[in-house]
Amino acid sequence: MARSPGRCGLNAKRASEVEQTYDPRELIRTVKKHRDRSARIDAFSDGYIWVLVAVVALVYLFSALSGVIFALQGAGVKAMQLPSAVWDLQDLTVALLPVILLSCFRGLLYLGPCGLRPDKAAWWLPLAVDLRGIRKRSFYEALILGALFNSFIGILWLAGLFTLSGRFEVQVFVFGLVFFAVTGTLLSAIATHAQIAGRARLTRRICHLLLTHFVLGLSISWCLLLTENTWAQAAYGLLGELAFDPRFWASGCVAALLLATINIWQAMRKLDQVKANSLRLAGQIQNELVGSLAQMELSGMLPAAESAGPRSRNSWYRPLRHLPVVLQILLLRYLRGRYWRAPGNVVLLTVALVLAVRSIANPLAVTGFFVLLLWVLTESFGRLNRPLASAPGLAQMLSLPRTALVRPAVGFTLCLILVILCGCSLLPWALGMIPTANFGVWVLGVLVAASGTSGAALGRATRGERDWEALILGASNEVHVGSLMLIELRYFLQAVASGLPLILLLLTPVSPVPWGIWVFGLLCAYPGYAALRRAGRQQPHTPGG
Amino acid sequence: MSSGDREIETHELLIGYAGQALCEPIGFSVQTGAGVGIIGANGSGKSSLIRTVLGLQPAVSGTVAYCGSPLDEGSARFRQEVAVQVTDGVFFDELTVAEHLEMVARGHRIKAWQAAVDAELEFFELTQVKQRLPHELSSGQRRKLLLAAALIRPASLLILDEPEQRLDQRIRTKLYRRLRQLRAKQVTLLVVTHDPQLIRDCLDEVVLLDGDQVQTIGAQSGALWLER
Repeated sequence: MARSPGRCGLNAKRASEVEQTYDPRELIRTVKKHRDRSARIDAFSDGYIWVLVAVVALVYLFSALSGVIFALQGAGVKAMQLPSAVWDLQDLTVALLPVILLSCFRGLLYLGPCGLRPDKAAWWLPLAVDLRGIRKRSFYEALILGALFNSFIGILWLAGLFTLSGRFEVQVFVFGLVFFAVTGTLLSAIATHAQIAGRARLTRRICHLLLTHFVLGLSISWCLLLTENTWAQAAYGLLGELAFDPRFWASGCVAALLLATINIWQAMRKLDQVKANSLRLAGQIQNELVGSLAQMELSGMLPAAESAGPRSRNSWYRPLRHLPVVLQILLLRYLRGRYWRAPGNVVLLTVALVLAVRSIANPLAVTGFFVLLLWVLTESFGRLNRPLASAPGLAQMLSLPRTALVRPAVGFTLCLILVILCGCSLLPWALGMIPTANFGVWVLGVLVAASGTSGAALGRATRGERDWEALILGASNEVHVGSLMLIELRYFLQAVASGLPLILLLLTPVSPVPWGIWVFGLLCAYPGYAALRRAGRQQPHTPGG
Repeated sequence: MSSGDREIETHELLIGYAGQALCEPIGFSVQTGAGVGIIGANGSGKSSLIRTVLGLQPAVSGTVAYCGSPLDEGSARFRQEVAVQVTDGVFFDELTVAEHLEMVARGHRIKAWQAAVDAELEFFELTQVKQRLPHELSSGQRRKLLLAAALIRPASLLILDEPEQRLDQRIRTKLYRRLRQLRAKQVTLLVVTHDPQLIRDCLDEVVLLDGDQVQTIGAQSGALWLER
């Protein structure tokens, strides 16, 4: 049968009369152009506020970075000299540059990098118009994203390098910054090639493999340094010198620029081949990321688990069937949601750094580790407990009072945090930072910290979601935003404050912990106990609780 | 029959998520000018089938052909000939109801787009709210806007996912009459539905996804299956 496009619609007969040069973006432009004066001023001030927020965030990040380096170097505190610690922090920073670039590339692959916002994808992609302009725009945005993302990471890396070396060279900074910006566009262009070929997922796996091999290479170089291999020592020495050689950075800039130009030109030629669905999916991921940033929720920034796993792996969960239903939910969420991963990574990274890098085996760094761990545990268990602590529908579905969900959740959290903190206590104990005389007090401190952190995690689980974008843009003054930030951070502060006895025991092992600190720690731990007690009192089974 | 008579054809198509199939391989074809429904229980894979056919979701295995060639959602021909309404609705926050329809009409090269927009607004009884932004609409009105966007443009194949949802009976009756008129103009219909009336009024046959089984049955049997 002969096909004639456009048999449908009230306008089928008019289909042949074409409007050749219609650009669907026109409407949006017109709407923006016709905004009244106050709307334009609003749009400008919104942009201004975001730039201001970014600058302030960068300043805070620099301060945090300086703090971390200060703690890792154990400035003013005596560090243990471990025989396995053969790296300098500065050497490691230089060697980690490829890891940073690879991670950035992987991030860009995850983000698309070319994507179309869901509304644009839903309405523009099915139109029978020339979509080249729209595709080009998304490619330019991807290049800008790559440049900004890599520059941001580059600035932090350079700041770390200068802080560690104690010297600042303007030429290195300028060339370094240009290098990171150009490399960002290069990585974005390469990621676009992968997206065009539909090989983004495969490329991400290759990146993961490369990262694994790089870590393996680092481990081998560590072994060589351990045996005082002169080649390895010379290689690290050379890397250290190159990091401060402006000619090295300038050559890097030229090479990156050349490669970026070639790759951008090639990507532009093939841009029509980016699948519509790839643009749509990338836009969804980018949208979710922006949403997560607006709510300051880290979970949305990580790739979601694609399934509950194959049936063979699910057989692992069979023994859980004999447990009470709430415990089953908690355990399955903990295992399948991989909530163990973040604290596990913190512990692994700390142990590796302490073992391999000079000066990190110091009380200040170990204190920093405990602070970070308490923070991560609060976030991780807060997310784990969220459906049980703040979803009344679940209690109704299980015909249980809400307290019957909260109590096991707090108990489960308390037990697991206790186990994790006890396990992590092995690190300072092995480094000789917990004298035998302090053993009992340390155990008491662990109990208080675990209670405080579980209480904080419960609080975090019941917090209301905030749209930070709307809050920051609509805030009348800085004090208001500051107070909101403090409220948002109070659970983390509570967890860290409950760990104060541990921190003092690490920093001043010879002097006893003042009773005021114990009282303060116990006060921070109280909400956890209170939740358990409250749940214990309200036992009658009223569906819906 | 040549493949040119088949608008959509699937071969050993396995639909699912993360490599896990939802049902047995599906093979069906939609002839030019035919009306085919997809029915089944909740979770049987009806919407997944439509999404896979459209290339919005990767197939576990198998192929989908559009007019004898591998389906390419981005191709100019596909965009010109296939009208789709499968999403639950994403809209431009800053555009009104009328502007959304204007964009689709002009994007499909309808010269008298203003008249077309007015006609669709009237048909779906959206004239009163044509200057409203999407967030100011009820869920039923948003649904009508999506259907209007699918019907305002010229197309030879119309794919709809549960078009009856959130519509009152009067609009449903109007919509089904419109779909029958389109069938009379040789427009092909592929519709996921739970409404026996839609099947009886507008379709010739249905693909039934029943557990692991997939079978093609007549419209009357399909309607009875939904009513059982």
